[in-house]
Amino acid sequence: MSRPESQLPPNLYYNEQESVKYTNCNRIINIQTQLSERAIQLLDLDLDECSLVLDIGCGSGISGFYLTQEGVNWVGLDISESMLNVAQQEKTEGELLLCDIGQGFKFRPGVFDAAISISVIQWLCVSFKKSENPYKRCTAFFESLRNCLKNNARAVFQFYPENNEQINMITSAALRAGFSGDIVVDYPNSAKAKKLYLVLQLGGQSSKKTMDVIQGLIEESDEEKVKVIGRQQKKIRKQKKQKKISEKSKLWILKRKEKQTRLGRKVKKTTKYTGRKRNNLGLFK
Amino acid sequence: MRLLVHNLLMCNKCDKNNYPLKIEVNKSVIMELEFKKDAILKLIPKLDFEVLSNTVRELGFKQFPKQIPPNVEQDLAFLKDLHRVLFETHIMDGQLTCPNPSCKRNYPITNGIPNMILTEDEQ
Repeated sequence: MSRPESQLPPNLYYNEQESVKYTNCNRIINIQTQLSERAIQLLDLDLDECSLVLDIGCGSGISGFYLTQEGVNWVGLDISESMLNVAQQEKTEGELLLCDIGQGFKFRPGVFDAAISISVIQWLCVSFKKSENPYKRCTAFFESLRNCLKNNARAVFQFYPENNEQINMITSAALRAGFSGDIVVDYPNSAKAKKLYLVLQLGGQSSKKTMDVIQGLIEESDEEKVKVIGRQQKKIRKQKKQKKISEKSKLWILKRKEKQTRLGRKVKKTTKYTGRKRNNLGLFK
Repeated sequence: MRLLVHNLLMCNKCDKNNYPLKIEVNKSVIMELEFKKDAILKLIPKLDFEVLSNTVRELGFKQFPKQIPPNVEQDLAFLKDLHRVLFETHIMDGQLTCPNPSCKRNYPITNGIPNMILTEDEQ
């Protein structure tokens, strides 16, 4: 199944039909719910102090719902009018704004205590128009975010990068804007369950010039998987070590004859003429 | 759109004199929401109260106080008014205009959602 990011720009992909499907599909709701809960856990909000959170790519309000449950007010940004209309219909308690985060956004400086984003920022790395430059969009986004977050605020982004280039583009833009942080990987050994969270902090260790990838959650069964993968990798490495014998060479012929003998077939006797170099005389190619 | 987000929002296009955005209301509606005292008290430090008060008065609620009353934690009447103004008053249709005389960009509000997206030329 191809990624949504390679099909259409997000405001067109999440059209009315897709928005309704997204909101009614239990599987999607479950996944987005788990991601939201985990992101809120990583945010580590001080609920006595925290009153305003920015939800980037709030969509139909699934993550916002959990923020409301924690007793926190939130402002949601999304590029899809259809998704926001669904959120409006569901009477979400957060504020909704139709906005393209790659263009940047402006709020009063330092108003937000934290920021959260579920399955969104990889969209910044793709462009559908010539005028859209992913590098500039990532820069504009992180600069806008830095301006509206209070000092020492934390921001957590669960996202689906397609490749390392996208990870680098996003992390370097965040570092340039003045954030420090790490990438947390949950269930790193499961292709299906593996999830990436960019956890950023504003202020604090500003001397850090790169981001580390740190291990998050790991399932018990993952440890078994690690053992199995280890054994498989050993086997592959062993096979690679054995040099490849070129076809039709004398050595190859002899090995084939040996194999056929073992299988019990009739094989001609090996003599000094076996596999000798022949002069083709231009007759055989 | 409710007045909470209006109190935070600035014009996306210009850098100076871009706050607060002027509101023009075509349709508004009151939708009741459960009053949570702690949530509102936590929010008060975030508000630019002068802007909120001016906006509320311009929209017709002339009785709204110009300043936060002293001993606000006990002033339940004020907190309930604040709750109504911040959380229960929805502007469903209208527009937001940048106060900068050299910008004056209009952001339409449709179905209660302001459209802050800039065109390609404006970026």
